[in-house]
Amino acid sequence: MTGSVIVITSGKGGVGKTTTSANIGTALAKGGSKVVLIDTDIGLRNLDLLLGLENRIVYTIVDVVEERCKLKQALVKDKKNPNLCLLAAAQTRDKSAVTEEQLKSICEQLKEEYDYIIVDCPAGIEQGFQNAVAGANEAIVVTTPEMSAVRDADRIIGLLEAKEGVEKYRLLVNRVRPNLVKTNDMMSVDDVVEILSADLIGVIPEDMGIITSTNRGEPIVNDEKSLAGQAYLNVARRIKGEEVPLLDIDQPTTFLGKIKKLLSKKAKVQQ
Amino acid sequence: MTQNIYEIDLTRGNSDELPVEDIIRELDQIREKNSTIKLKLNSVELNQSQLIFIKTLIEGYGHKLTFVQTTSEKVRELCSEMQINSTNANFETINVKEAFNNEENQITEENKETTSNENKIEEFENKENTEFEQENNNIEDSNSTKQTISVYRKAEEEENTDIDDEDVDFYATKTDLPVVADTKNTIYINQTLRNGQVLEYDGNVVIIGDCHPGSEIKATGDITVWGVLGSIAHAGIKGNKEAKIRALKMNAVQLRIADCYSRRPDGTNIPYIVKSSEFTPEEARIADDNIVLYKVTQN
Repeated sequence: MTGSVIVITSGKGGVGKTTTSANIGTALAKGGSKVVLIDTDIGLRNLDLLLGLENRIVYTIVDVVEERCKLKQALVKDKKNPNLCLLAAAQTRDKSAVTEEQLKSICEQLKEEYDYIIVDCPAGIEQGFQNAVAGANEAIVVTTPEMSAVRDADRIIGLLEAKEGVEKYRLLVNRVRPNLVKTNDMMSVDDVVEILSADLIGVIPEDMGIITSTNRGEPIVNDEKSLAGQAYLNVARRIKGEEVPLLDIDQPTTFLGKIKKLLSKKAKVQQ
Repeated sequence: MTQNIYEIDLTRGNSDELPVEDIIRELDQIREKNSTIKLKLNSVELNQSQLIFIKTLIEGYGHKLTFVQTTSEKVRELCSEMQINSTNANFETINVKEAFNNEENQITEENKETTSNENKIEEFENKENTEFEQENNNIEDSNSTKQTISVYRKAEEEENTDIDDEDVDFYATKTDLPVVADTKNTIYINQTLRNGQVLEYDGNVVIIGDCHPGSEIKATGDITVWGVLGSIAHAGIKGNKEAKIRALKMNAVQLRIADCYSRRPDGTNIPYIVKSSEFTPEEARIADDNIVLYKVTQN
């Protein structure tokens, strides 16, 4: 069995890479796939917090690389879902503690047993990014509908295109506020897709529930009422190859139907 | 004038037999193109056909025969007929400083009348280099003093000559146009230039695609973008003021041609997306030391 390694990256910080990693990972595991989440943000780890696994970490990725433990020992099992594992980052070291080759070999080993390896990439384009991308064969570029995030995503896509091994990249537009888009105060998803000329994998609406879910250490996909959670579940299904129409993120009003139509026409969600 | 001067010494030969192989060997050793060749003959006399032969040989290698050093009156006459500068090695009165106060072009003329021997030429080279450096410094100075980069502007509407479409026979006008061949290398890029990507090329650049903000294009020749130009474009980086920048939609953050810099007027950033129906092909070139945008249809 060879799983696929998907890196979640963005360039800019604070657009929701870690939240996306945690939720996509959980959603994929919920669907029955075997998933490993790798946190490569060494020194500034957060992924364990979002999953509520902070207190269970014994060994980290640095311990694996420096051969203080076996790879399997370092994988932390999720509280609820036995299909989900986390390979945590070390908090007491920095990005240079791991090299590209080491991360690549970790990914190669995990590929044999797991369906999806989700790599949470740190912000920036330095060593941390290079490490995270090294083993990946797919990428999800997270961006928000702001000019600064879109610029950084553009840069990241340029770097991904130059990277060997990354076969495809898809765009995830996060924190969309439909009412701001309506009043032309925010870029629409269409605009973002057009500017970056990339395939879209999903649109996540802004959701207050994300904050509480992060603080509680419970991914929002476990909350069935949440719109953002639904959107993440859809993204996970698209990763698996299902064709899922884009979620109507602006349900209450009637104008939204139009947007939805436009979106589903424009954004070709592949496979 | 950054080219090197090379000397081919034929003083050991005689006028009966031209040492062609020697010349070819010497020419083979010259790596740089467009070098300046000095022919040292002294007392050796060559006839016209021999001189023409050497000249065409040198030009065939892409170099230039600029002057001949000879003591023979005959050869000097021949040289002046062929418009090559000749010098008499025995003539020793040259005022280098004075020669240098004049324009570069006149230097060779000065030589014609006066003289130059080996050392003097070296001196010339050094002088030329320093002068070039000074020029460079001047450019840098002028750049640094240009803290307020001027804004590129659109050409006046008046320049638009009203043409009735019906009256114009496009085919006829086309054939009347003089065909100017651009001998520079041209590179075609068939992709979108993304943020952070830099394209640098010695020659002309044609990009089939957009240039996103944050990217940079530098070319010694022209830049043509078949799409939206939203980045920094620098044409004629080695000082070619004739260089031009064209784009289907001009939204460049900065336009630079040679040492002329200009920025986008404030508040004119185009919306996030440009529809192809909104394309207005424009060409930027230098007019009165400012970069001006001309609609491509105008000219």
